[in-house]
Amino acid sequence: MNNSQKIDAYFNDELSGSEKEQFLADLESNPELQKEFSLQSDIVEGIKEYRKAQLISRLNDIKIVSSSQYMAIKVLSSAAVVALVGLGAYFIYFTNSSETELLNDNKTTELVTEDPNQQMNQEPQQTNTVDIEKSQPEKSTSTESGDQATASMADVSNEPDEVTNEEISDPEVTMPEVLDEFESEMTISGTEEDISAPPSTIKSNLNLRTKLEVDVKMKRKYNFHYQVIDEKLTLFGEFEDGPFEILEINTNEVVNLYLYYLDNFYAIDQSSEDIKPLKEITDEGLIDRLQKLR
Amino acid sequence: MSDQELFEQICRGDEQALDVIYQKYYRMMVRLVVSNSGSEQEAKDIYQEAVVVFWQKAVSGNLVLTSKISTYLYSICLNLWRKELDRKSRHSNVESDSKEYQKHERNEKTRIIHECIDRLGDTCKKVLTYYYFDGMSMKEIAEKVGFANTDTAKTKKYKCKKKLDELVKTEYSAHDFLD
Repeated sequence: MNNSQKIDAYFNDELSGSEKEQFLADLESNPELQKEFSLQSDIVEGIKEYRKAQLISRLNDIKIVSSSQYMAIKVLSSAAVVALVGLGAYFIYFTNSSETELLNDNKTTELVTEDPNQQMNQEPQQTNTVDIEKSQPEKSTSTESGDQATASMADVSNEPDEVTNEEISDPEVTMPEVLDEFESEMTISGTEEDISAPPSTIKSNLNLRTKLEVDVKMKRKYNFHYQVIDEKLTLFGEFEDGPFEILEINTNEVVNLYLYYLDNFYAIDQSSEDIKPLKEITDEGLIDRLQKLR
Repeated sequence: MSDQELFEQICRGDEQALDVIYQKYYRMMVRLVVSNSGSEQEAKDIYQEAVVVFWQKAVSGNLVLTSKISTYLYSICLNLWRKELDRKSRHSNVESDSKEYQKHERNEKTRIIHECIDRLGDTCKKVLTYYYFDGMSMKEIAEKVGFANTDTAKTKKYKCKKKLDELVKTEYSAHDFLD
């Protein structure tokens, strides 16, 4: 074994105990070996540094989603949950109470899924379909990309003649896509507004929330609190240890909101606009129901 | 993807799995340093170093994961940041001239060696860095780089190292580092 090989073996920890002792003794007494050892140390260290720099450069190139963007994506995911809950409630009601009506009146079975622009154009004359958010018909055109999810959620059938009981009770639902780009302001909007349905079945019974804005703020005094003002829910605290979801349950004329965060559910009381601490739900029946909805 | 799956991929030298880990725990680790008197940049540097340590230990087969990856990374970050704080407090005094000179010489040597590595072909770069830094076996290197067998990998490593030694020696002579 020449000096270079001995040094390489030493660096790779391939020498036995006695060989290592011998090598270190040689190193003490042999200036040539010392010189070579010093050079090899530099080279091996240099290679290591080179690779380390390579990996760090790779990590530097990775785009990190900023805190607000991260939260926005999570809220957008929540939008899907809210939309699913709403849609579920819609279909449960639809199949239970309006079968007869649907069969008797084909005109009212049309679920509008056309291009939002087209929908806007025909809005004033349309009498056989009713948007849930009638008071704001322009909404359906204002967030074209944001409504992709909604449009696909509503993509049940646009052929009125083909709607049957079977199709209604077992709808084909396309999952919404999470958008890459998202505004910094986190807004859940247009979750159900494009679903048009018979006025008699929906308008009077389902008070679906059409726009819920969610914001997260940091305040020294409030570390795990919330506040509801109109259509805006503000969460106070870090909420960075995991995604949170807003669950919306629509019962007769009441919209109940729940927050799901780190395996726990929290009720959102909308009766006052005060900042309130988030209280964990302990009612097992309700937890079970919320789990099923998720 | 679970921690275990990611860990197994990293052990196989999959750098994309490392990217996933890096993104996954970035905010958690940066917060650790920032909440302990570090700046964003310092936090990022510490976390990147921790991720590289994790990579090296995992790829070389020197890590048996007994906790979550986040727990492991957290402890590395914590240790690195403590060391850094310690270093900062000790280095608040002005460094002596001789230390400054040694540091300069070391940096210069590193720069020369990196330039020499840059002059090697891509295969040589991979073989040498996988061998000396990642601690991969010749079998793993052969698989990753696409050699027919471990003997080819060994021969290639020997030739690449020899070539690098020559380049460095020449450059060291030119810079009077061989005296």
